[in-house]
Amino acid sequence: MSVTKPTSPCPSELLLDRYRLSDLPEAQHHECSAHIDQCPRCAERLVILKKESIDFAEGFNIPNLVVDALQRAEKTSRPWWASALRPQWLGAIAAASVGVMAMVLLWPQLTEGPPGLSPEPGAYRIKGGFSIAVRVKRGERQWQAKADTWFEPGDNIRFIVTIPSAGYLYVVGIDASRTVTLYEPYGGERARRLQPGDAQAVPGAIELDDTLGDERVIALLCKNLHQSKELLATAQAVLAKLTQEQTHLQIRSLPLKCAQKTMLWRKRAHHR
Amino acid sequence: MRRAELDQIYRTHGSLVLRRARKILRDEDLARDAMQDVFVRVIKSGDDFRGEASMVTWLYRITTNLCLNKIRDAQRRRAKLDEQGPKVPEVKAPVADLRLDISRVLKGLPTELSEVAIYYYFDEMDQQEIAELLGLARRSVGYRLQRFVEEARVLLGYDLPEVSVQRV
Repeated sequence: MSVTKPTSPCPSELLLDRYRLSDLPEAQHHECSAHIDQCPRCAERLVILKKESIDFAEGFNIPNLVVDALQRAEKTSRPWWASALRPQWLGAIAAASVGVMAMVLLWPQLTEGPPGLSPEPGAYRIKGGFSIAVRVKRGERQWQAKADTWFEPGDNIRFIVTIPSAGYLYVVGIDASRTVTLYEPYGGERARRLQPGDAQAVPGAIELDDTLGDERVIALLCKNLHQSKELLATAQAVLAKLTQEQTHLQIRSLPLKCAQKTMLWRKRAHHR
Repeated sequence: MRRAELDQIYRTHGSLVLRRARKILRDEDLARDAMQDVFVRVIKSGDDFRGEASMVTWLYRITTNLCLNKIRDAQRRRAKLDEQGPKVPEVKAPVADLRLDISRVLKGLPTELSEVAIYYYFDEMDQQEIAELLGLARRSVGYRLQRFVEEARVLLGYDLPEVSVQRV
């Protein structure tokens, strides 16, 4: 016995939801968009989903049970020393910490060059030079980002890489809200194996989101294939090890045996 | 996770979670309970959800599984009541909607069959899409659907027709 059903050319509700929330890889997003443009039924389905979402957001009220769960989670995630420290110790510990913290906080700033696309120390390297540059498109204007480039929400960016030997490219970002994003491969797809070559444009453009501030971006060229989840988990683990006084900008590389380049992206609101 | 982040996720994704729960449970109160459970799960997962390739897909799966748990819990409660008191014959609903009958079948089946059936019959996903969603081989999805149809035949007393459910 076989289970079959007529194949519908229309996207499922899951795909429509992902489309609506810009959660699809670029190619699939365009495919879905093209279908909706020529399918009145799907266009109507999308309108209904959007309206439903707007109605929900307007009247949304998080149930107490969920808020309680959040408060419990916040309590349990508080570091152990927060409850262990006694007030009378604080003065002595603060004084002793000043020297140590000064070293921790100042050292990276002394070794870090001007913000931008210049490589930073501490990364694995491949002889012959793996390099990555960022091409920015804002409206009709396109240019290659430099050290003094300010990014803006909505900018479209593409990566241009020079690769000395074949490998898999990953680009991980940690933004000011400490959210980890995998820019490449985009949308959690399997990484592409790139062949050696100079100034290759990596397929696909990325639109920058609304999170402002400084973002640490690490590009990795790996000989072996890694799962997207593994990359994200590795970055999150490094992030989790930072103390409250350290910033995400102090992360220079990930503990993976890949050639790595580090960038600092500075993002501000639309500027005239 | 901070409150602002929870607000953001709830505002942008809450409607799809609630819609999905309503669709599977067909009961407003149960659906709202399920939505709470989903967001409690999101909170408990800590930062793990950031590792998911797609937040939407992840929420779809969690919602489906939590709704199936609710269906099974309700079935167990009913079975206990039946053991304790005189058995009330179940009134068979008129077959106005194929999904009503499928909902009956879901009650007694393991999650691996039920979730595939929901994606196939309720969501009208094709087997390839389900395979990608669940991280299974397409053949495994087909096999599970075959088993579901066989179970349904026993429970319902007729063969499930080829899918003709309209998308909601």
